[in-house]
Amino acid sequence: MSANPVLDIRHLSVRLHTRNDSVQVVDDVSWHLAPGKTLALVGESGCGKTVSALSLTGLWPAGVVAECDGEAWLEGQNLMELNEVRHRRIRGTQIGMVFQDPLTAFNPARKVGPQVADAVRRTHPKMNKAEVRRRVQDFFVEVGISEAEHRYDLYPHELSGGMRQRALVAMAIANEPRVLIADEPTTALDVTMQAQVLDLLQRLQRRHGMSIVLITHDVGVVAGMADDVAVVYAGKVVEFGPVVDVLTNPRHPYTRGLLAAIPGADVEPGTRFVTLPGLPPDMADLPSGCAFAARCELAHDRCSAIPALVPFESPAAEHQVACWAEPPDISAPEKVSRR
Amino acid sequence: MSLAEAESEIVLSEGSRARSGARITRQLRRVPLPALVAVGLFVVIGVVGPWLAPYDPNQVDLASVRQSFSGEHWLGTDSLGRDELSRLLTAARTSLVAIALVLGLSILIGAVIGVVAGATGGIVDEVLMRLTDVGLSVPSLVMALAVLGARGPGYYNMILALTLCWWPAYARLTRVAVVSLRQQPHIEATRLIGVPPLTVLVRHLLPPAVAPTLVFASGDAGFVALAVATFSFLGLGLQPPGAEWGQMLVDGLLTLEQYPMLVVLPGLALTLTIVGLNLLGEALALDSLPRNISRRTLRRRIAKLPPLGVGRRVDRVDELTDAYFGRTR
Amino acid sequence: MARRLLTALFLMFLGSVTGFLLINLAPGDVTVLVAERRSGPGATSEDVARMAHELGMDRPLPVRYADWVWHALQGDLGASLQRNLPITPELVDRAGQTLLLVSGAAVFAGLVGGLLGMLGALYPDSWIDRIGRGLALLGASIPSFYLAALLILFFGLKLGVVPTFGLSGPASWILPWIALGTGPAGVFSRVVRVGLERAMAEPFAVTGFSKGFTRRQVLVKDALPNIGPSVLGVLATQTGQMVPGAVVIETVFAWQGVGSYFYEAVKFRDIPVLQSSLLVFLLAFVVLNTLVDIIQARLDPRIRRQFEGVAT
Repeated sequence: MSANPVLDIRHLSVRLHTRNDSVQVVDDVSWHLAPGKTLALVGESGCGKTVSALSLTGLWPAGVVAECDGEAWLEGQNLMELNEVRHRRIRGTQIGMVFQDPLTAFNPARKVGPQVADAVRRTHPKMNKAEVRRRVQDFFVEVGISEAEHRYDLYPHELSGGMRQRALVAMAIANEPRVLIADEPTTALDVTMQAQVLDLLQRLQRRHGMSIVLITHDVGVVAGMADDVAVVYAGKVVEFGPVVDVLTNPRHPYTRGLLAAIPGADVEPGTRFVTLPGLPPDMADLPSGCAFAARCELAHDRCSAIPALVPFESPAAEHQVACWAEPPDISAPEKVSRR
Repeated sequence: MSLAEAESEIVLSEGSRARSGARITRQLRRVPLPALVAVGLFVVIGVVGPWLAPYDPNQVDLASVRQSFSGEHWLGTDSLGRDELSRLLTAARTSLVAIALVLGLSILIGAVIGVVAGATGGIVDEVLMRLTDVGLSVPSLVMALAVLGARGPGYYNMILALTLCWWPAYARLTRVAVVSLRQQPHIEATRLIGVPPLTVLVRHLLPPAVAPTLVFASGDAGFVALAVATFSFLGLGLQPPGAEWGQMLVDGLLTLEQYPMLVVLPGLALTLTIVGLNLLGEALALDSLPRNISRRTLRRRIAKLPPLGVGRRVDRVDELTDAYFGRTR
Repeated sequence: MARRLLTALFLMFLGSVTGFLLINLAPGDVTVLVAERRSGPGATSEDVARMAHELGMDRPLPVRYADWVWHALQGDLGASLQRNLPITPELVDRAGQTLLLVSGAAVFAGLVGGLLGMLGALYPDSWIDRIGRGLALLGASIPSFYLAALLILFFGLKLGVVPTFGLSGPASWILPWIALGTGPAGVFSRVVRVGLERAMAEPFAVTGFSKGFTRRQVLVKDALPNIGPSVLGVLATQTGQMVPGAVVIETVFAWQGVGSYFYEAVKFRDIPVLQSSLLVFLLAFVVLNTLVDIIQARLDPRIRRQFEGVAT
């Protein structure tokens, strides 16, 4: 990976506290993101991938207090050490966010244009109304919203899902952030829309030189979009590497399970779906060793200790994996658990 | 808790009765102590107050009129020389009985109308619910005042007038509960195995349908208390010489400047009671928003947990990996 | 729009029927009372019968209702039993004072309640929030007449800064406004506080924060427009429910409004006045609600969509 990552996460741990419970959701996670590149965080829901991204923005849902440890460097600042005021200044300007559900992400009681204009006005407080409007409409055009003049004055429910997501993207890039966090940006969309939105994100990335943190559970999206992949399981990164390496040569049994579970187009009708055995782990009650051991075919005595994320094959390799299994075991593809 | 909130609560809690029971217990545990104390005190005094009274509350003593606090009359005497403390204590029962009767009758009428409407459906349901809607859409206190105007003032007339205007909310709630209950598998099952409809109604529909109205009633009690006090203040409730806080307050108004305590004391009793009832209602209200953990609890909890950074760190078995990869990390 | 007016009319009809029935089905013959009042104690049964005929009380109920409505529509509400004076001019005469009282109290409730609620939502669990919530609870609980008495005692009698009763210029408006508006203010501030807090937990608020908004900006720009219409509805309901409060406050402060007129009618069982005041209250209530419906629909695109039936 290149020498100067835009975003460098080191030993990040996050514990969430609610009134009734405390759960450690992110556990000693490290990853980095090169300028202009896309990193995908992949994993089942609840595995901590969204939380690790949220901790960069310091935004937490009501009723949740987060306790963070570790470092997250962005442009020479450690995000974990920022106070609320300085963290806020980063939001929107250096980190943009695209959310999963564009319908709820917009205020239903306000027109779409002014909501995007809020973002523009942040960095251009002196701009007059007409200028802001023109600028927002330019952004609308850039993200592929036609009839921008007319659509500026529509309410969120009057736009289609794809248009809403485009508007949300326009809002996120309005201040040209260095990093864009896209949390399941296509999950709420039709399949045809998904490709268009991903395509849009890539185009914007090239034009603005943004780096993207893509949070998804969809391996297909990863393949089409990401440069690097971090596979997250039970709050830990279990496999990390360039997208080609990880997808073509998966090393961690969990990654293999994920890939095997994708139904291919060439599957015979009537074939049973391939599923990962067992249930996703209960984050509040993890075993003392490797969290995947309970679902793993290769589980072994050593798995009672937690494996480190280490380079696979050669010390300098980008491709890293956290598993105790011997190379012969994990390099044998047919051993991937199937049912 | 507004009626709409109460309704959505019922619809949300359909599904499992056990869970809604647990919710009610949880809500009860959330009731703050001051509310329990205030309401508890009100109820206890309402029950035993007249026996605690040191004097006959209606004993006129023109020789000792408008006395201030003393060892003999702890809270002084009123314009007719009656013992203020005794009257305050006795008045608690007047309020308690009125509130209990209005709420009890409203729940009863509401349950009957709601269950009949919800269980029969069709035209009966339609007629009863439109009637309820009218009752809900006109300002009920004004209606009650008009009824009192037509019937003439008096304690039981007041209770009747209030009940007449209070039941629609309960009918609506009961019906919502019955309708959502009726669609439940265990109720449908009773029909399939041939339990007589009336038995189903009385044994299986009525109890769970009335339970949520009781919760609503506890939040409603403050409003009834306020209404009762207002009517008494207007001289439309309990007639002299009976003791009632609102009415004691009016009596004191004439000499407000000279003897303010005759106004302040009954007002205080009233306000404390209503504050307690409202606190109770607030604690029982639908509260879907998760609240943040308080800073103090958080600090205490974090102190008990292992430090975050080293919680589940990778086990340092470097030699093993080193041997494995044949290198130094 | 037309449907809304129709609903309002229907509600007026049902309400007036209900009121009419409740009032006229009360036991006890009012005509006896009137006869005694008019021709002294010991009215003979002939007096009573004559009186009943004179007042039209001997006709069946539906006829009386139709007759009453028919005249009411022409602006004739009949004469009061107590003083035998025409009701309509009296009501018109008194409406101004009640309007002044209720609108002032409503503005007070909206401003004070809204401000308290907003501050509480802006700084949740801070001291200002705690005080605000305490005040709201107290305000919603304290009976208006008790508050009125305390206000009179303190500001009128002890400090002597404002008149304690009657209507004599703006200074005399303040205490009645506060006394009547405090209860609704308490309820309103709680609604605003809870509504804003819920809105601030919605995903769109998170979007606002992700744009780099401060809490205040999210509150003002996103949460307020979101809850505005529904909160306005609550304020309107609260205002509608001020009428019985107005009866009390007008009595305490010796104002000559519709409330005190109604109160006199209640005390003297003056049926025509009762019916007429009830009709006026009902009309005010329905008009208020219809107005709020229309305003809400203007403000809130979601409701507007429901009314226009536009599918997306």
